[in-house]
Amino acid sequence: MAKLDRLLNLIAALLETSIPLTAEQIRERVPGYSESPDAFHRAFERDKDDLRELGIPIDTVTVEHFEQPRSAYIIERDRYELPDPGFELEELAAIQLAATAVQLEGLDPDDAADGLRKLGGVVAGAAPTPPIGAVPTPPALLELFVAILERRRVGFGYGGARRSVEPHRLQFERGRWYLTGHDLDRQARRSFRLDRMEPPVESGEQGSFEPPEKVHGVRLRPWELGSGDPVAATVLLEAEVARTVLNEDPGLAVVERREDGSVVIELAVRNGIGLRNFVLTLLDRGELLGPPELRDEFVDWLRTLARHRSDVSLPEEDA
Amino acid sequence: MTPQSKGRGRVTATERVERILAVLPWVVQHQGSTVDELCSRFGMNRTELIDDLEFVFYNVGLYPFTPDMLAEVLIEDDRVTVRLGDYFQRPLRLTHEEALTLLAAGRALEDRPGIDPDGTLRRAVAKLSRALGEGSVEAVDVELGAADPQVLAAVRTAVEQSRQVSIDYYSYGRDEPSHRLVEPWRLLAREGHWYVLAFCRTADGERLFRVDRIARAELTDATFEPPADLGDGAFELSEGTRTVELVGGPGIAWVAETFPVDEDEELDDGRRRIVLPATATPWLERLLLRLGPDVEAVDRDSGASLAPITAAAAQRLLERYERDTEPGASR
Repeated sequence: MAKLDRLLNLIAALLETSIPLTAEQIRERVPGYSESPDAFHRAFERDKDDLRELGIPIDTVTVEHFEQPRSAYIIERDRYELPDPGFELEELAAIQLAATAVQLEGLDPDDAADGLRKLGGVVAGAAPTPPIGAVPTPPALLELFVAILERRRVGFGYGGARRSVEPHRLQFERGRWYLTGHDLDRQARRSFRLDRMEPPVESGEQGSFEPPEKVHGVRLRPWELGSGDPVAATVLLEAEVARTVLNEDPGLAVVERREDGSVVIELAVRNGIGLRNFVLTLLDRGELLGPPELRDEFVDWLRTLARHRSDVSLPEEDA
Repeated sequence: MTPQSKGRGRVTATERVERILAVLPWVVQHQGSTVDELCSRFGMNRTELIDDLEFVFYNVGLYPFTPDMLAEVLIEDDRVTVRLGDYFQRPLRLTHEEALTLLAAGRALEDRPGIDPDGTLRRAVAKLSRALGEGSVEAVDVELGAADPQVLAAVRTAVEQSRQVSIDYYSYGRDEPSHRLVEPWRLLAREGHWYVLAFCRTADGERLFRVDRIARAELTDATFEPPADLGDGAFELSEGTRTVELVGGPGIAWVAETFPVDEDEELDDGRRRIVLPATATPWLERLLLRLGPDVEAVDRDSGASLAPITAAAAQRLLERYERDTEPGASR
């Protein structure tokens, strides 16, 4: 295993040195490279690539060497070493269980195992759990995650236009990934669906923005999507649907709870169609109570649909 | 790390480097660990572990490789002691893929009642994200599904202990509440919702229930024998009873983004045609009522227009509004 030998000693040498080493110095200090200059350079380039692939941060710097600039290499310890998370045994076990229970589809399953090994391996006795959650991994997910961590601006196509965004948070909600961030063209916080982003997603320079003090996530209330002053609407939810609706969005304002289990919620409406669609999904178990204008619009919609029956030629109807 | 580089069987040099870089620091910090302990912790067999350690002993060191510059590995009475220079003392940082995988999994389950009742996972995720770098805990948030914490906890316990549960279930598709006795086999999260796969004794068949539509779950003392093999978790979440064809303006695109569809195409006249399976009637009513009068909807098998269904549903809902002199009066 000449290669294994070489790789380990190369890492040790680059970690240990206090000044960057040129290729020639490396060849001197790391046994196993060929005597032939060409073969040495080919092997050395391959080794560097392999180690970078593993996530080892090999820096290249230019040094003056007998008045001739040369590339030299070093591994900065701070960027190589994983700070000790200081896990208690049961905390490591909890991470391990979570990693087996929830899987990111499309990423290599070995990533979880490789990561756990670095964190201190597995804790014996932690029972394996059948996977309970599979989270899809859209192509841009990893790139955006890195951009958030490294404070890089990102650009991508969205709805036919290029957008430039300072990314703040990735959120998986109701089966989809969203990116929330500061939209530089619109100078406002915006959320984007990852499955609607048009490639390529491009990342800018590292450290190009300051993270916000408070990171906001995506909001999924169709009646709120709009501008202008909101109108307060009240909606009655019968007991059967009240639980589901409030489970899904515990932040909804409940203004009345009735004895039969039904509740009245108040919504800040900026988007009438969003409100209509929400109330329609309740079918017979909900009612748009007010204000009268919105209620009238809703009733008009239903009337149009009810009348529509006579406008079309019907096939023989079942009895 | 591409999946291709991770072939099973023969371990490549880089994979061995990866393993050694992870295991060695742990051994250094836990001097005197037994070989067995190390094997089970890092999922290796004895030969692999001892080979790796011996390899380090014979081959790793620093220029000029005088004895004082070489690694020292001692296995005595099955206990391992390692002396190294000032390198390989800490494991390598996580790659972005590894960090994302572990963080997302942890964020999905932290603080979940019945899964992380005492917050151990939440503390672990917080420590992990500190090690990954400031702000990383905020970077990802995963909500597998909304559910009543008590119901989710009860179902989880029922799966673990193979106990029957009595539930009040609201079937959204059929728009009707029911009371059932079920044997939960498996809890799973798909497409933004928690589901429990169970044998329903009331219906005498296998059923998939959405956890957020379980109004009440009560554990009973009766146990059951779970099936030996539940497959790989790829369950059909809905089964179509009829096939619906929609033709409308570009505005109906959301249907194809929201539901699984069989066909979705743009027609020559710029309109869009979507074919999808429809489950129960209330589900179809919701869809048609939202789409409105400008979308043509037909039953694909019979060719019949679905307008009567829309009209009947609209008429039914209207009654409530037209009857109410006072909005919201109880019926």
